Amino acid sequence: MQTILVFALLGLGSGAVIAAVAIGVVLSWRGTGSFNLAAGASVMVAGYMFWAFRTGFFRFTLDTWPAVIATLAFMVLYAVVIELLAVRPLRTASPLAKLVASLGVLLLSQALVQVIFGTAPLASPAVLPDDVIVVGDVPVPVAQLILAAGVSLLAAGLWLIYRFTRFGLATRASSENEVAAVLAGLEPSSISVMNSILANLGAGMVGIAAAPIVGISATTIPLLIVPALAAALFARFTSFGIACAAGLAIGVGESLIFYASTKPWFPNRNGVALSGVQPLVVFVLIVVALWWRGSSLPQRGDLRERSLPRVPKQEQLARRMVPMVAACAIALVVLPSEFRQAVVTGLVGTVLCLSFIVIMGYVGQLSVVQLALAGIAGFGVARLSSRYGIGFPLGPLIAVVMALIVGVVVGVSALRVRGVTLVVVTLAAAVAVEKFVFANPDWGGGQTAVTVEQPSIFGVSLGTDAGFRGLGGDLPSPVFGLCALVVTAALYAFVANLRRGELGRRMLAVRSNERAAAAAGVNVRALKVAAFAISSALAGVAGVLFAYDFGTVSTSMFDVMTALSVVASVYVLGVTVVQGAVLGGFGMVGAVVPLILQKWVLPQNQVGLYVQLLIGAGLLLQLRFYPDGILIASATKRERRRVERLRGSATPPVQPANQQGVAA
Amino acid sequence: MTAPALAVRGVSVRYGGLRAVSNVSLEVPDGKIVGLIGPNGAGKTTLVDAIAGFVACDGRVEIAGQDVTRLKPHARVRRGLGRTWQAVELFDDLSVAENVAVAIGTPSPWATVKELFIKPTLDKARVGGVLDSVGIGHLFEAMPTELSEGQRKLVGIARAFAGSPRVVCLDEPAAGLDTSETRALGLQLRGLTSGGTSMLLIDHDIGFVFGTCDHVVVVEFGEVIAEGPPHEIYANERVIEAYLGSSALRTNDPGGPS
Ligand SMILES: Nc1ncnc2c1ncn2[C@@H]1O[C@H](COP(=O)(O)OP(=O)(O)OP(=O)(O)O)[C@@H](O)[C@H]1O
Ligand SMILES: [Mg+2]
Repeated sequence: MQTILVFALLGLGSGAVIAAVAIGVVLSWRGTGSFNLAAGASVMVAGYMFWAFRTGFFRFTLDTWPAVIATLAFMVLYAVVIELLAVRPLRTASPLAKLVASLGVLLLSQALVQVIFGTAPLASPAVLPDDVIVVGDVPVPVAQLILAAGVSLLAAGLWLIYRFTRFGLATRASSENEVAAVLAGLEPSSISVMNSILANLGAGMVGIAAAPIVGISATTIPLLIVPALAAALFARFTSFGIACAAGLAIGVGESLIFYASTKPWFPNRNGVALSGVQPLVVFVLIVVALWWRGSSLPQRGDLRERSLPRVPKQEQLARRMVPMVAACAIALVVLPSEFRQAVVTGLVGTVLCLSFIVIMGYVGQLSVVQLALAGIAGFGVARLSSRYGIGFPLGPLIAVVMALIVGVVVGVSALRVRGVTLVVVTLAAAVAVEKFVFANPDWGGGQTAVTVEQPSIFGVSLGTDAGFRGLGGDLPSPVFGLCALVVTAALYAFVANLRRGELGRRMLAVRSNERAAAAAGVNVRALKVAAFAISSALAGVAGVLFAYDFGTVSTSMFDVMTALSVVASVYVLGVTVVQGAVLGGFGMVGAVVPLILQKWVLPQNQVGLYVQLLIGAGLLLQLRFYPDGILIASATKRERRRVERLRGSATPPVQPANQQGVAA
Repeated sequence: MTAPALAVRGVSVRYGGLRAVSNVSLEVPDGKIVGLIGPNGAGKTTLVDAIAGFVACDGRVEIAGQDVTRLKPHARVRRGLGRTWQAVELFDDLSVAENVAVAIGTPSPWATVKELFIKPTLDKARVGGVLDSVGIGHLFEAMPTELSEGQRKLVGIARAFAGSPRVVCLDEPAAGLDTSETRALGLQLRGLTSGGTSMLLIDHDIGFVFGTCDHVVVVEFGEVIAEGPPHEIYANERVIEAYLGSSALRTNDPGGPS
């Protein structure tokens, strides 16, 4: 009993961080109506800055209090910069665009921090006393208690501010009806910046104080957004108190699960407890919160859920595809080996991105679980052959079906939610799959990479080790690349064709207007499940190809941050057109574009970080200048020109034609 | 006697404490147009939502004699129901032709799968025919966002008729149309009944309703206060008091019924 209590109290430390992030999420929602995925990144930034001020990273060393003040001042600056870069330009944009902008901030902040401070976790100097006081016979860690009390005070303070000050009133008014608030003389943009500063100051204080307890790491802290989103959902994105309490409770719960995992009755393998149960519980919590607290976020008065970018028609598919396919085929034979490898990776990345085009572009469901599904298929194909001897072609088939099933399960658990809320579910699912499945040494890779047996049929190798070696004569063999090319081209044509047919039409109808689609006889639920199935299967195919392409699979290939940068890059390029998938695929780490950058432009060893930096920055620029994505902006321009040409010559303008028609 | 195309039997809808529709019964016989009029907030749209399955209701809704009260909206559509929306809800990402094509009917699963692998074609003749029946054939290629409000209304109507439904509920189809367009719409709707389609027609333009319908139902505060052929309703004291008195002025067809 006593140990349980100790573990519960220890959980208050990370619980406080989760609570602070959750409070940040609530503040962003109330202040600007944006769904802030970067709330966790603020804690990370504060932790790193404080560390830097205290340890002389900037060539000067500050004492604790001056360092705290300098860090908080920096957080105010950080808030203002983000406000100017990513929030203010998008004030009237759709919730989805705001969400994607916060994704850009997250990617950018995380990459910058790692480029500046390095990727290794740091040990921060303690701020809070590390004493333990004994109450009764329970040893109580003081720091955790202070932290928990601190965030609770923060929540209470915010509640008071929102309740009783003019500023709070203004925020509440503007979140209910922005237009009315403007008419009443309140300035939404200053309200928004104030909320953002409050959120970052809160995150900053908690980040400084909690850094020694939870550790400073650019890879783990930003992802605290996932449990924080669960807490914010329970608070319906409005109540500071509930967000804080739920955040603390999740921290305590995770710590207790950790304690339980030391017990013999906990599910284990050879005495090693199952890992990743916590993220799985968070995922379940989120699903529960969505069913219990209502399927969507509270509406803000100023929100019209504006639709996604347009979906240009797919004309002249064959004519467009032939040169591309031919170019890839030639490249696969003549290029030197590392470029051949990069082309193959680009092709596989294209398949992965096609799955986003279907689920995001066509159906409007922003799902970030696709890379995790690819991972399931990748590990599946590796494990099926190594453990059960099921090789090509049955192994990959089963692996794709596994990805499909998991994808449909995630989709079904999110059937009632739409738009941005789906991101929460799929993000939590992705983290859960990564930590629970991939990190498991039996099902996934654990800490090591798993070797994949190359495909062959009737004794003829189709893999990267096949006999034919291209012009250079070295590995990898172009044979696998050509197989991947065939698969990619077929799937590309399939997804483009989908846009032209009945099923694609229904998907777009659902994307435009679910109610009206139902009134036109579309079974919205069945259609969404079908879309999840198609897109999961595409992700599964990509996963299998990745496994063969690299010859090994490891957890890091399919982690959540990679998934988020792929989502972001597809969005930058054009999420509603298949061409966007090609560019996104060839821009993935390991593919052609990063390889070129790595060889001639960027420092060799951190190309992944720089690519993430580019994507994050590109996302913010694109949202500002081409809110629909670059390819779609140009396609729309072309189509408009075509329509104008038509109008100008052949047909009479629409308006008079109508009057004639009615008069007749 | 065959079952009416649409029968509403004792339907009530509550929004919290408000009874938006209470115990309404009406029938739309095959091939007939029934008008539904009443002042703002009388519950007309709510009744259509109940018929189409978008709000939960007490009572029964039957399409061609089949009880559909427990069915989801899309399943009711497949039993032969169409509807339009008071505020037009088009699929803005699809062209006018595609908007109509979505509603043309559910292809078999096999056809859907086949279409994924061969180049699909839009049934141009059929979609064009539907658009022509409401006089907007020339808008085939247009995008909904390029249209005027009146044209959007007509696209919504075309979409409701696309699946050859037994009965269509039209929620204020003439709002936003000018006088000549309204008159043309009335003729087109009458023309569509010759194919056997029935309609429940809601509008505030009394001239339009009385000139187009075979039978008129009047509701106020969610209850039916009168029903009968147009000329009887036109002379009904209670209706005049409740509704016509104020809104007869809004009629933009000065000829009206006689
Ligand atoms: N979703 C809703 N929630 C709560 N009350 C509603 C809702 N929709 C409608 N109401 C109320 O139900 C009543 C009937 O509304 P309804 O829209 O059916 O009227 P109507 O006859 O269509 O009016 P109008 O001629 O203005 O279109 C009104 O009092 C309205 O305020
Ligand atoms: Mg109405």
